[in-house]
Amino acid sequence: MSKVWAWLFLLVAAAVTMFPFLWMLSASVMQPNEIFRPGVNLVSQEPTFSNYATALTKAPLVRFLGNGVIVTVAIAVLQLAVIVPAGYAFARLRFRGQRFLFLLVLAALAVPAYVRAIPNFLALSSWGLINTYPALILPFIGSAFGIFLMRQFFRQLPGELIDAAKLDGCNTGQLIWHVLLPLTRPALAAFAVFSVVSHWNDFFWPLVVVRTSRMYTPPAGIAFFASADGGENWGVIMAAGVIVITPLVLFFLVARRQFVASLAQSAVKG
Amino acid sequence: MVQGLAQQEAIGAPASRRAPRLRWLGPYLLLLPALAFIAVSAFSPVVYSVYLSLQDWRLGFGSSRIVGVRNDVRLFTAPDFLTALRVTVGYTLLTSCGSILLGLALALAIQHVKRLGSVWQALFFLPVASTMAAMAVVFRFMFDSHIGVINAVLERIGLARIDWLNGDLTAFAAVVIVGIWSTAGYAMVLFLAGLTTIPENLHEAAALDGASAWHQLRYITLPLLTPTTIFVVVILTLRSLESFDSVKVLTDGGPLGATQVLSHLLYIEGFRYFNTGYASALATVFFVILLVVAIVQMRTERWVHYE
Amino acid sequence: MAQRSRRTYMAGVMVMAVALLTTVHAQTVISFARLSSQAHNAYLEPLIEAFQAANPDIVIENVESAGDGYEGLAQTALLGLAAGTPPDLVQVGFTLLPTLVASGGPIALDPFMEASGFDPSSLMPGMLELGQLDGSNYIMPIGVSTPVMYYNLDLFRAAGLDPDSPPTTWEEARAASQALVDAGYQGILWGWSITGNWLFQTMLESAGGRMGMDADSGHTATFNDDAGEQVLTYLQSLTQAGLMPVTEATVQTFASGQLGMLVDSSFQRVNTPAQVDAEVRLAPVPIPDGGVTRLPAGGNGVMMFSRDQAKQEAAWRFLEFLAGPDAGRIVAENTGYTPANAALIETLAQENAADPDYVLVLQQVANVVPWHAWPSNNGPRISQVIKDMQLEVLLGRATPREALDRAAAETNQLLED
Repeated sequence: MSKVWAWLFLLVAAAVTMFPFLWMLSASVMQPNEIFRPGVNLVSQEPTFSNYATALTKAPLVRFLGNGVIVTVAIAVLQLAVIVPAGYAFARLRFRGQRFLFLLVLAALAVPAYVRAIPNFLALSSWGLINTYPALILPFIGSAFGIFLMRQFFRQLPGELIDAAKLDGCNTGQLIWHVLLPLTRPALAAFAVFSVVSHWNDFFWPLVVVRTSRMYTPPAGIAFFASADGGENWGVIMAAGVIVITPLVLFFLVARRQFVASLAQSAVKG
Repeated sequence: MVQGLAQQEAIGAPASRRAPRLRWLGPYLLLLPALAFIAVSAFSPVVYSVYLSLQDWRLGFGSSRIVGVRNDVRLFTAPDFLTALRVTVGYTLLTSCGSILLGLALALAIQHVKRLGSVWQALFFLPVASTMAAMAVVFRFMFDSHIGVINAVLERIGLARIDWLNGDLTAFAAVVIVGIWSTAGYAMVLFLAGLTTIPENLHEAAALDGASAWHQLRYITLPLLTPTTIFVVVILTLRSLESFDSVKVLTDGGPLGATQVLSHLLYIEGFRYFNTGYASALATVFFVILLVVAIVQMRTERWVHYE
Repeated sequence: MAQRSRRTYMAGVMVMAVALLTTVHAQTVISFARLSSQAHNAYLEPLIEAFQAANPDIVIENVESAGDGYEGLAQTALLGLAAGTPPDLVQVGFTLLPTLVASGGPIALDPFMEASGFDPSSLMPGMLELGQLDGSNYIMPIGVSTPVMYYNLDLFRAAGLDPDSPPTTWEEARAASQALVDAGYQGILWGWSITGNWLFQTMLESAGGRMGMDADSGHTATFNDDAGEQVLTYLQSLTQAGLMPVTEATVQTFASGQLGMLVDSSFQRVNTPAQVDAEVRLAPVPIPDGGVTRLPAGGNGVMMFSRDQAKQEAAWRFLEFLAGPDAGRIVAENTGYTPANAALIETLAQENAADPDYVLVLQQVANVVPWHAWPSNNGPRISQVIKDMQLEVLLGRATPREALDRAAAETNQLLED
């Protein structure tokens, strides 16, 4: 009985969640006169793919997507390299100043993007890094969210497993690499997804450090067609939006397998 | 850095006979890279921000005067700030509660239903993955009173049209709806990950003992989910507090400040009015609020038990 | 001996040849901070190309701002200034003139104008004034837009209105809106939300008012005079009678094909009509009975921020180019802006006599007045105060008199800061 309710709930929620995307897809194949026609018109009378053609040719959208891949992958990889050890240390080791240092991490979580913008810009500028990939990557490597997430997951791991490994003569390095990482794969995959999604869609920071259109990231592709002063072509904006979001969806589907596969394992082991 | 330790320790010798002198260094070395990056990219800006807030500086201007805490005093008495504070509290409470509850419900439902798991997950995560700059435009048009599809649907089912973006309460509702829409999936993913760490056998054992689904939820699932829940609460609260794109595109803080959250006020002062000194004072206060919220929520971790 | 001296001689010749070659090809590189979007690249890219073709010794390096319109661009310039590396040229929207000048970034153009014999009268009167502050010239205009009314002929016919005589006065506009609403459509949308209170200023000045005046005590707000009250009372009466929707989505509402008249910028001369499924024509903005036609100029221009002398000269050449007929033609062909060059405007009007909308937009430039820029760092903030004031009145939350006085008081206070 309760399964029926669950199904119903999921279906309704899915309809509501997907509606804006349906609108966006349908608008992406319409011309502006159709998009704003009053009434509920989701199905276009004269669908056209010209918006997609325009989006891909008028703006260096493919280049933006490429930059998106480079930047998000670099950020995610470097972040993982840095947060896994830190998360482990906070979760399973005892050392002086631990609570204080963790408080610092928490504080970093609370620093909003706008506060970081100008000082980071000035620093990068003095190092001559404006309008480069490092400028897009470096400020994000120290991910407080990541440390927090890793700490959480490491704490939830069964202690016996680790003690057993230590007794077998594992040092910290081997411990992390061979024993813990496989177990925390779901957490790593989850984190990678969040990181990639958030940095792929970040428009604000690139606005501050990018100077030429070659270096812009995907959201700039959407803004390109939404200029102030009029002249927006809404169909093209929607098409650009679809193009920018699609890679993320694909990435999520691929990354998700990581959670599912190892999730089953870790549950049983517990 | 981990390699270095490994080499030091590894020459066959078991862990306990490692050179004790260097052992204490371990944890700090593990933390070092992360903390170094955080110090540079997150902390020094805060310090700089405090420094800026004590000045009458505007972006790019050559000179500035030290005006001490004048900016902070202006801040606390400015009606803008107080309104923004009120709006932010309301928005954050509603959005984070809504997202968390909805996320949890979705996660539980997905687990319960068992079929099509990946489809549901991808679907509900889509809002999180989408570029808010684009989706907010979609919502802006959907909520438009004259050409918007939401009003068209309302009319179709026989209800009255709502002037969403011109009414204080309705604009606020619209912004909250968009907030929940874009965040519930985040909570769902985290909850799902947390749910899978709860061993199946516990549920089986309880079922054998005659416990109903509701009972299982209340006495097994939720308590064991507490660490995840705390994590979700902290992250989502911070996320709603900082949320900005949706407000900017949907209402731009309007009508007349009814949906102006602190992050939006901060943006306007700093990047539209170029009033960097004042914006920095705002930013410092904002940061303190965020920090306090995070700490308070973390404190409740005290009474959490791990399996 | 002879061999050695010959070798030295050859070496000397080679050195001189190389030196000669490199000086001939020596290029000055100047950076240009500009908008980068579909609508703006349409004229900026051809302009840059044409300039570089005519001036091979100058290379323009783009600093593109994909952001929030003119504010984002100003931000880029100011960030560069803060970091000690300002761009050489900056595209700018006219209302941000005081803010930028106050930062100490822009360089006054007068010495360059004198040195190269630049003739200000080659530009349409009033155009150069748009970029003047405290008697100095800072901006060379690229193109100018003026307020204009777009109207939907199909809806006019459906409502029983004559499509060949659109309303010319406020009262006629009201009557036409009533007819449209009675026929089931939306009446008129005055673009009150356009940035910089552009349309409010248009209506105010046509009713005889002024946004602000210089007095002994400095600049004060004067928009809360009778003319201001007349404007807001008129607008409020329209919204309360359901003749005007309260929205900022000007073009989209018109594109829905339900709106009869839209008062907006001439920049979209080509784009807005293209977005509607109906016949659209342009008409002059209606004025109040007994009023005058005064059109604040919108659009943008370019400022110089260079500090280096060689770069300044190169930058000036670009600015001079912008004032010429070649640049003007590029702008006119690719956008709805009207170029600044006076002679060119004449020529274009003749060439396009068959397109009355185009001719109207060209002719309107004769009635141009400066877009009011508050002489204060708080310019953008004041614009927001005035924008909020209009919204308050439109939503019926305050009477025109109250809203005007409150906004004027706040403006005066911000002016003093």
